Amino acid sequence: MTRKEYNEAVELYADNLYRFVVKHTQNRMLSEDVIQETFAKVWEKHESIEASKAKSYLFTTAYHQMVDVLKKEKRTTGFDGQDVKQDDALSHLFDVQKTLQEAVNRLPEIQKTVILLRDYEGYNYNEIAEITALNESQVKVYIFRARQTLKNYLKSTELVA
Amino acid sequence: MKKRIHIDNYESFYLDYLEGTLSEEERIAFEEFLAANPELQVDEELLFLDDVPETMDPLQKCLLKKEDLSIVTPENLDYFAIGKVEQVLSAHEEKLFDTYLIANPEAQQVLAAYRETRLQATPVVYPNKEDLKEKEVALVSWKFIARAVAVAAILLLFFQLGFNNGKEASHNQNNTVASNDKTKHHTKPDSKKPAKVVPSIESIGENNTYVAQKNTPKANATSKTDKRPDLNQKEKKDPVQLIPNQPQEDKNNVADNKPQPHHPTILPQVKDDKQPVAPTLNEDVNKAPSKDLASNTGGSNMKNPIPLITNTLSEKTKTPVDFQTGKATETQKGGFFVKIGKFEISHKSSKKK
Repeated sequence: MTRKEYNEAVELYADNLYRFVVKHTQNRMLSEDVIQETFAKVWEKHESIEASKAKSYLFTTAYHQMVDVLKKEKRTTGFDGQDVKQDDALSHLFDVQKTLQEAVNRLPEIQKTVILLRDYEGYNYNEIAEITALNESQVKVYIFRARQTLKNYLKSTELVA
Repeated sequence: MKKRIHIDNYESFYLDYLEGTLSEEERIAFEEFLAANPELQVDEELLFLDDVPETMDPLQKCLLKKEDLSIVTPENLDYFAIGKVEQVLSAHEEKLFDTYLIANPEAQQVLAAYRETRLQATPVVYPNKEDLKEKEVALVSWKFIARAVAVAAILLLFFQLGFNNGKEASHNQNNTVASNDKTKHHTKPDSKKPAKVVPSIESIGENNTYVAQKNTPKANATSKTDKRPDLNQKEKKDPVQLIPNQPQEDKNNVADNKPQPHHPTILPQVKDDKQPVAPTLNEDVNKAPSKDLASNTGGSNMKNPIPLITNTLSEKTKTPVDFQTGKATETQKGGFFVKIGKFEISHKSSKKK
């Protein structure tokens, strides 16, 4: 990946990566740190990365970086995220999407990850498996369980039938 | 013999009591003991395993299977609905589920509920995107730099020469010094009378300030630092250097290294009788060809390699355009000569040894 391709990757994927991480951590500052570190790591190895795989590489790096940071933060500061004001973030959404966001935040970390990658980035199971170091079957199970949990949550709030 | 129940042996009685194997007398005695020691009573639910069967979620069961499901039931409806939302059903399963949906309209609601679980991508902008980018470092090749410098030097030379020409023209105008072309133009009031053509010889330096000059940059440049008295002294000594203001180097480039005939000096006839009277026309001057810098620069071996282009440019721009190059020989210097209008550039290379 050349310098130009790297800068194009920043332009194309930085927002998506940031969304993925901030939806996960619910903490903007922490998310920005994760993104900075992710791109720094990618630039270190940019010569060995193919431009066509830049997005996948970025998400993989960001995911692992995020997991490491969350572990560290929880260990040292009892981090529980939530510096993103829910009202601000969700104010433009309809009721169902608002509730759905709340439901996503309640999901186990791994289910949240696969759902965000699936719905926001449109990755297929195989790509999600590569990013999260799971196998394809595990990804499928986590997604199905997450959908079921989300549906039950929506149903419990009587927003859906 | 009746066995007494106390704190050290009550566990065996407790187990028999729970099993229902105590005699009536023993059962009554144990219940009295438990009533006297309520802290020893144990919750019976903890003592027996719950035999109620734990059923696995049908969805989990479906996900464990490695082959397509052959039938849609209320139990595996979630699997089919999520699979349809996720678009991971096989063609066979898809067909089965579509058939089931037609037959069971209530299943449509389940499918709709799962469709609602898809997150809508909301735009989130990373605030410091520019900081992430690696700044481009401009790498310019030496070839490019060399070319740019060459072009800049040529342009500078053009402007310098143009500036000098302008200054020289004004200088000439002030001193009423006529050049070949400008003579007619600058002597409007007095030029009605016929001008005389005179050779530029020593009388010019002594009495006449009307010095004819070639309208060449080098000649002009030389005239800027006019050392006329000194030059005239030289002219007396060396007839070859009689051309006033002729640069020293030009002399060496004259074709065949022969002395150049002097250019004629056209002097306007002035009414004032005190003004010097021009000498008579020298025959050699009349015969002398009009030499320009090109002929002085490269010698007779200079040729125009691109006459078509220069001729076309001359015609299109109505400006004299000339370009000549010549290779150095044993006797003559090589170099090139470019002339565009009044701008001229020449370069001489050393003689071939």
